[in-house]
Amino acid sequence: MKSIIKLLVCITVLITNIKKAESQVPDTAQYLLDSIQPKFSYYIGKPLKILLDDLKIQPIEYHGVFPVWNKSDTIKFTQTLLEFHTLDERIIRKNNDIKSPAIYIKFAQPIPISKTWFMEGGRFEKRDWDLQKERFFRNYIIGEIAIRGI
Amino acid sequence: MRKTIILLLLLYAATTVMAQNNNDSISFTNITTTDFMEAIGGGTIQWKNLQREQARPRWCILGWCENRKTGEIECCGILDILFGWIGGSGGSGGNPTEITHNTEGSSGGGGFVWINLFNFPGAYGPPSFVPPGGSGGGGSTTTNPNPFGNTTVPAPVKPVVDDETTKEELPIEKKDTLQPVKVPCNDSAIARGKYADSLWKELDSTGTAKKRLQDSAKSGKFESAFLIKKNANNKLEATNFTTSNSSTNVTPPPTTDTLYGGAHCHNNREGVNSQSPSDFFRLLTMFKQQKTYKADFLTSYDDSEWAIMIGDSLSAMSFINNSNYAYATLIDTAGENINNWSSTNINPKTNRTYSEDFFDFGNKMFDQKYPAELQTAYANIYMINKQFNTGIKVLMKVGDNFKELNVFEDNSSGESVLKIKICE
Repeated sequence: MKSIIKLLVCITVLITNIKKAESQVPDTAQYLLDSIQPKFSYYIGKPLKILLDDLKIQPIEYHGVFPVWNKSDTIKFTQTLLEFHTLDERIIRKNNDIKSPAIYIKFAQPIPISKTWFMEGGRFEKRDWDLQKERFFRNYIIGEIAIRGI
Repeated sequence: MRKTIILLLLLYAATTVMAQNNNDSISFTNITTTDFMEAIGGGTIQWKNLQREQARPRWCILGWCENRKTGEIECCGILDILFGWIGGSGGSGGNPTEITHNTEGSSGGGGFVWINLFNFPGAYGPPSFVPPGGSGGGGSTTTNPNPFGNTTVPAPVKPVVDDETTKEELPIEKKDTLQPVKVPCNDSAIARGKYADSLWKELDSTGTAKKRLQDSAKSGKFESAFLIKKNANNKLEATNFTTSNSSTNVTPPPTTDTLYGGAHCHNNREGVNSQSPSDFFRLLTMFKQQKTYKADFLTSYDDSEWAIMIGDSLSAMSFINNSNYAYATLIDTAGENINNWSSTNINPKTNRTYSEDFFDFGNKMFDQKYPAELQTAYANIYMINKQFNTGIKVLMKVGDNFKELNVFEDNSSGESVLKIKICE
């Protein structure tokens, strides 16, 4: 009897944990519309980190500067898109008429960034939204915010 | 009872790991409802296109650790914490730059650093002032193009280049860049190339406008332009040569002459060595007014020469007459982005701005190792031929001749590969 109770407890814990894990994978588009969009006015005027801390899903790419080669040495970075699909995924989805959700951010002030950071070997060369970029941008103030691609 | 507790703890730990790793497993929970509905709406369910969501677990037994090598946040193990603390001093410090924003250096030399307990998203401890140069032990004052001085920048990977690729003729060719593939073109494309060649060459014999345009591209402050008509001897010649007094597009004064085309230049103040998106609309506008106006030439400060031509009159007229494709909708007419794809208006097909779509294609070209200087041109070709059917063809001067460029999308490998092809 004891063994059966133990087994039941174990199974319950296992199922609970798996359910918990599954519930952390939301529908991106619906999640952004339901949980993030209603708070847009709250985010405006606040550092980006407030939004990032709220996000339960991780952006995986961001829009940087294109093209870089013809820009001046210091780029005034004003806006970006936080993407939840890679560029290749977005292009394939686009071809299949499947939209790809993203969060558009316009910063309250232009952020001066050296052009070299976007060039080969530079800090922002890759479009991945990684810890370094998150750290860099997190304290800049959001001026505008919108959901794109839905 | 003790055994049960231990068993429960082990189960908890095991399922925690499962939760942590759920990004790596393919699960039906990762296919979103929206994806599914959109796929159904599109007619065919493209399973390969149903993307896994990038979620991160919200909890972890021992807290979260930053892997200093990868920058990834991972669930801590006890060894990570112990060795992270022991080995976590020092750091690369980052690179001082002339830019005074909240630059932060990397935080240590290797291993892991413990971040916090049970509170992953963004909570890296209280904000602290970090001077330019970073928080590690001693930033370098040497000029280092890589702000993370310790990071080894891998050598560029030589892309696979099609055997047919032109090796010598293309105007912008650099090592380790991908070049357009030379292909035999149909009669229409060849005829357009010959028409552009003859029109452009004939101008040499009837004046100095082309030379003035080239000079303006090299040293002018603003754009210059002229129109092309026929003179009394039935020879093509330039007319109404105009230099702009502002950084906006130059427009020669109107004329009652029958026009066969126009030309303008881009100088290095603008930094664009190929057509601006607004240039395509100028050609369409002129074509709408005079059906003989079928070509618009561009001379650039880097000596490159381009022609855009009406290749498909019906498509061009259809595009012009579609109110959804109005100039002011697709192109920014003011602000920093003037004359480029709109950074404010949304493309209903993608629900993104036109410039964001354009960026995606440009970045795709970049990923495929096409020369940086030609990414804009190639991305524009995608926009006017694939995103929209404008009926316009883009020709690049290669040697003495204009050659038509086309962009093709190859999805045969399951990935989207953009191929630029140029007429032989």
